[in-house]
Amino acid sequence: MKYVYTSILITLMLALLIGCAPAASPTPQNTPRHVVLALGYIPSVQFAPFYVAQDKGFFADEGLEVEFRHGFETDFLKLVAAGEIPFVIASGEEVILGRARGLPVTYVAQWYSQFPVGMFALKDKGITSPKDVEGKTLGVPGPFGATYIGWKAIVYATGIDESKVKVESIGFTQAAAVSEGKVDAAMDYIVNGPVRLRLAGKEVVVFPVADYVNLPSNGLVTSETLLREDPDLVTSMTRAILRGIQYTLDHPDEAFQIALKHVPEAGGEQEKVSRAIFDASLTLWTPKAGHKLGHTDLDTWATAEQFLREMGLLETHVDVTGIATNDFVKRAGF
Amino acid sequence: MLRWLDTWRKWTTTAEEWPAPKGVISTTTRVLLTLAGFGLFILAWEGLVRWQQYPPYILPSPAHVWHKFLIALADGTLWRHTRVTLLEISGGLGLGLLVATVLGYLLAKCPILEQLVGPYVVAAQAVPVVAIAPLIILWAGSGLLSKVLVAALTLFFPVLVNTMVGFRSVEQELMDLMRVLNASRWQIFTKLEIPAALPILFGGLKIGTALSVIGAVVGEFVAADQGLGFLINLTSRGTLDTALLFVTLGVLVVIAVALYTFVGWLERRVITWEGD
Repeated sequence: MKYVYTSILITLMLALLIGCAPAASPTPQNTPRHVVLALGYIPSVQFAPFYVAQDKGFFADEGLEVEFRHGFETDFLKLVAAGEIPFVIASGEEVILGRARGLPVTYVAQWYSQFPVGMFALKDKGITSPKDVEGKTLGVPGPFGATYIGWKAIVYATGIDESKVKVESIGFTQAAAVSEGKVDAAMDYIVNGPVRLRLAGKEVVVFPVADYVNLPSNGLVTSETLLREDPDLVTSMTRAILRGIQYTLDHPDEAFQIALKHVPEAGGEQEKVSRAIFDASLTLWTPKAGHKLGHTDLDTWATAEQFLREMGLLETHVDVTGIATNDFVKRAGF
Repeated sequence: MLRWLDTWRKWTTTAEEWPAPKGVISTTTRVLLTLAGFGLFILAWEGLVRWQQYPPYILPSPAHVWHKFLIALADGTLWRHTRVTLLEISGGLGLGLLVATVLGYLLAKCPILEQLVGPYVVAAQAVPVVAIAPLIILWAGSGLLSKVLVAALTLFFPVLVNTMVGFRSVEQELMDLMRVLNASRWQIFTKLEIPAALPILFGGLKIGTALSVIGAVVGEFVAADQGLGFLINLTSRGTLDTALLFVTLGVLVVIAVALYTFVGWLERRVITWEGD
């Protein structure tokens, strides 16, 4: 009998505890929606427009609370394809390579107006055109990624005899390797290595890939599922980012200061270098003559696919239909 | 309640009160159990892929990975990159073991030297290899040497400490006995110190083999155009070929296990006096 009373007492206590627990409050309708945006390798002033979009409330205007994540874009591309995160800023050729592996991803807005990679060398190496690199050594971070594809694009466009170029994988040490003479030339983002060397007082020659071949550049990428199920979110994100880019172009000094708030390590002794990198990045954010902000040239995608296949970087033909679209940029009012 | 107390008492009895094991597991049984465990692992993996419907670029199925393995084996990709990494592991192991063993002996025997050099050795260990690898690449170039150096650096500290402990574990009474018997320094070293330290040195060697694999791969991550570490980088950052990534990881595991097993075999052949 005492077990019966004990059971009743325990049941009553549990009911009391449950009853007194605070009820889950309903989500207010004006609570921002949390969204992840994956950016490149590490925080940098090169992502200033995103920081501007956050600080000036462009994301908030769209009802978005954006969390930035940093890492390798190829890892994030897979997560976007799998629906784990909604957006990533990725290079155009990575989207094509991703589609070749069955990743259902789509490029919805252009971030850089041109392919951001180039070949650079010290002026006294006597390299006056890309073809002059024959008979010399060229440093690449590794035989993959945008820098390597940039090299292949230059070979494709200028007819360089690759067998006459000693290509070395030097990791992310391009500026130091060129400066120290470990390699005669190197491939890097044109806002990185060349800028650093110029600031160090070196005379540098740069051959942007975009001057030789038109490849799709870095842009906002999302999954086909999100495009289908929540196109409004894609439009909102696109609008906020493009507003961030436009504001940065219109107010560069303010944008730079906002970027320094987000990346304090870029300030102090590094501020001069950071400002130089930021100023170089403005060129990449500025739309090319005759082009609108955020719009990708849809013809470049088929060209890029053909180039990747002919250079042996793609094993099979990839159908680029629908791989990129300007619809969301237009819906965003740009 | 009393039954539960009785069971608890049985679980907490001392080892001497436990019944003796019925017999050693035979080699055949051990192999069958290992294979069975591996089979269960493969089944669980396949089950997970089907249950969660993972796409191949996230988690390829065992069949997909096996198919990719056969392709990579047939076209020479696997051997081409494995050969390079094995070369780096061998070089790193040889260099790291040599320097760590010699220095470990000197530090074990000379307290003044230990005081002088010790802090710098510890400081070197505290710096993550992944942070110092780019500098090594810059100083030593992006060829084989830099990967050998990174591999050697990765295993250096654990082997050094093991060596110091090993040579300091020699019983003082035995040292005194050797001196009383007028043994020369060389005789003490070869007939007492090395045999006495060998069990611990082999422990360090086992650790070193595993670490040398890690070191070689880290070096290739930073700057390489050949090797299994490079292949991991290429498949995960370049071609998004997750199946080939799994194949590469599998090969690395096999290398590490094979090296460890070899050292264990060597240990049993060399140290014949233990367990007598």
